[in-house]
Amino acid sequence: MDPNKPTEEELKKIKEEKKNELLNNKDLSKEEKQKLRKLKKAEDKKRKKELAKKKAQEKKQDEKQGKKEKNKKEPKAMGDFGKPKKNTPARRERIDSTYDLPSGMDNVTVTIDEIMNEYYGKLHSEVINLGLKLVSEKIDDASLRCLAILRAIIKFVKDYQLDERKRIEEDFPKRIKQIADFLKRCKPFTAGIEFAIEQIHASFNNVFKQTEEEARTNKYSFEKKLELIKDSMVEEIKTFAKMRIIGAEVISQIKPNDVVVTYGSNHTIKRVLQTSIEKGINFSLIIVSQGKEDIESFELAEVLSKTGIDLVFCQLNSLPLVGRKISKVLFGGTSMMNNGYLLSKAGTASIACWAKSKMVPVIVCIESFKFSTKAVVHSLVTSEIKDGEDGVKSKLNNKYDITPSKFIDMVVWMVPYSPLCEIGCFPAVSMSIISGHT
Amino acid sequence: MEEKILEQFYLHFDEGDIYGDNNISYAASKALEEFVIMNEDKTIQGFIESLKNIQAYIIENSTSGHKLLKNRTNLTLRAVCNFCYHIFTKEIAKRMDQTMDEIKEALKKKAQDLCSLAEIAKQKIIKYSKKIWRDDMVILTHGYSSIVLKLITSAIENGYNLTVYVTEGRPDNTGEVMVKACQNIKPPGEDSSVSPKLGVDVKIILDSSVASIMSKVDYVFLGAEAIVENGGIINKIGTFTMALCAKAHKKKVYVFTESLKFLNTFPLDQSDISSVVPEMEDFDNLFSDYTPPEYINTLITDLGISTPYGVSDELIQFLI
Repeated sequence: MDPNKPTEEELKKIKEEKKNELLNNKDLSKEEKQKLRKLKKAEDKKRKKELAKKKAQEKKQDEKQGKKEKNKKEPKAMGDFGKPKKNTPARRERIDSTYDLPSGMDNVTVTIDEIMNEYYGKLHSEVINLGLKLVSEKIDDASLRCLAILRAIIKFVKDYQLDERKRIEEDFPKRIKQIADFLKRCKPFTAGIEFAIEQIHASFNNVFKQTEEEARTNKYSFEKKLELIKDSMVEEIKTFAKMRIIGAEVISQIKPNDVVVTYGSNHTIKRVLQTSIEKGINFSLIIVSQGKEDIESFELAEVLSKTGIDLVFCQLNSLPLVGRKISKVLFGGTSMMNNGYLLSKAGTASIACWAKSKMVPVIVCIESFKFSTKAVVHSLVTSEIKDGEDGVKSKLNNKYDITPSKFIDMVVWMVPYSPLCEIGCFPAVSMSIISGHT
Repeated sequence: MEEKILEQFYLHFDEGDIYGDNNISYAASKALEEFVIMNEDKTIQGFIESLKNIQAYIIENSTSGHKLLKNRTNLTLRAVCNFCYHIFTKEIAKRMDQTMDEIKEALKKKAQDLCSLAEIAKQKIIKYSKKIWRDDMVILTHGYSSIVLKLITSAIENGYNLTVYVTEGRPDNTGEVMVKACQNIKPPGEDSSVSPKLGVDVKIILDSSVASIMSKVDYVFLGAEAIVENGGIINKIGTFTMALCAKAHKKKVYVFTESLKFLNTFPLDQSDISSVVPEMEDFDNLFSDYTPPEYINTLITDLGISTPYGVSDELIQFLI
């Protein structure tokens, strides 16, 4: 029997959950709701009857055993205070080890059909396009996803039109929020994307105030004002992307004769590796793949191997064999929590733990826009869940995991022209101080 | 002009206390005071630029030309210069609206304050570490450290009996200096000669016998040449060995340093030291080593008593 396949009990549970969801759905008519309720009641009654039967049987068995034991006359043990309780619960046959974990399934995402039905025509076509890409998980990397979202928003801003009777300061933020909500439903936001959206709102407020003053003194028409705001918003978003994501300074900790391990493919790490190869640093590299579905890391290996670097491509389970002489572990990340914990692709924590046990320094290279203000200790709360091979979502099929700060030796912060440019590297533990100054 | 300032630095550098380090900060701040007086820059940017230049000049000449620091690294000097630079730039940022002469007057006062900063910091550390002392305590220390010597002196003057194990401190044998200094400490009361139990019992041991002596020891006391960004320390070679041994024997390691020794580097392992200290090109014969923060129980600085990570937090905040 396939252990991954759900048993009958689990299937029942899933059915019940679906029914509950249907009940809570407001769109259903009253009659349908009543029908469903009746069905549920009938099922509940059945279940109660069965339980009662079971209990009765158990009682009989208990009594039989009790008679046998009475005849035996056991010696009283020390600290034995009277008889044990009669109504001991029946032992469960199979214990679900994940039953008390919080489920990440609460963030229900949309399907492609829903996008087409609900949103098509309401949002900008570029945003819908991006939404479809996100749902089908074509863009996975945190930096690239943020860039794609910014690009879509720029296109939306360029095509933005407004009736003269409406007010820009009310309509524009509303539209941005609409887009953000839609994209969030397609795929949950990381801390970086949330920060970027916040920045867009903040810069709109500034831009609007400035142009309003200009328009008042020069008596611009409504259309010219709108045009000015659009232009400067596009400029603002572009500079954000340039400063924080594309142009973030690469601080390479790789030194000659190092043996470096990376996990999966990450935009940031790719840049770090490429720049250190361009600098002519002689090092060898081990790329650990996430699995057979992970085509991106294979592509990364393909690109880097053309440069003539000494490269090994392996799976996670063969890393202890391959990496006997490693001297550094480099990670990118999805977001860096306020308490120094790293949210990254599933498997990062186990490599970090292994590296720490080998006394190998673990370095996290991360752009400052990915710093989160939250503190998280449990990877199951924020994690997305991906489809298993048989298409069933399980609580344990996490996409991301959390690496504790004790496994991270150094965080390399990549910002150009920062006031802190002297401190490009800092310990993960003092994350809370640094994140206040970004 | 640069040579005059360097002369000022040498003048205040007390060669009698060559192994200690409070004179380094004293001499550096005296030299900087001289620099502020002599400087003729009319813009703030020009002033900061020449401040950087003069600090680099002092650092370069401290080890190469006169060999003032002998076998020691110039890490402490670099850290002190860095600290002064930050204090100066902060003071300038506060007085952006004032004229250049007023700013220079303020900086002169700051430099004069800096002269006594190391001494004040040491007094604070002694104050904070009063609770550590118990009677008949056994301490292990590595080579000569001016702050550890001061602590031992204050403890004995307060009437505690101590046993102090001092390592030889190869290659420059600073342990001998430490032992001599410890033997000169006089316990309170005149009749100390009558009861030989009172006071300090100093023993010199081999560098390589650290592990075998460790089981007898209660605490390991260390000074530091510099604190690095993650709360680890750089100190005389052999410190890491001692910290490792102490960890294996579950003994407490206390590090006493002034916060002005904070250095803007982040070594990941021992091989990074050679890049931190460029004059040590030969990796096989280092003078200093790096002790990671997980081998240090407590750092006692003039900011207070805290874990290494706490100190690094505090200092990063200062540098921001």
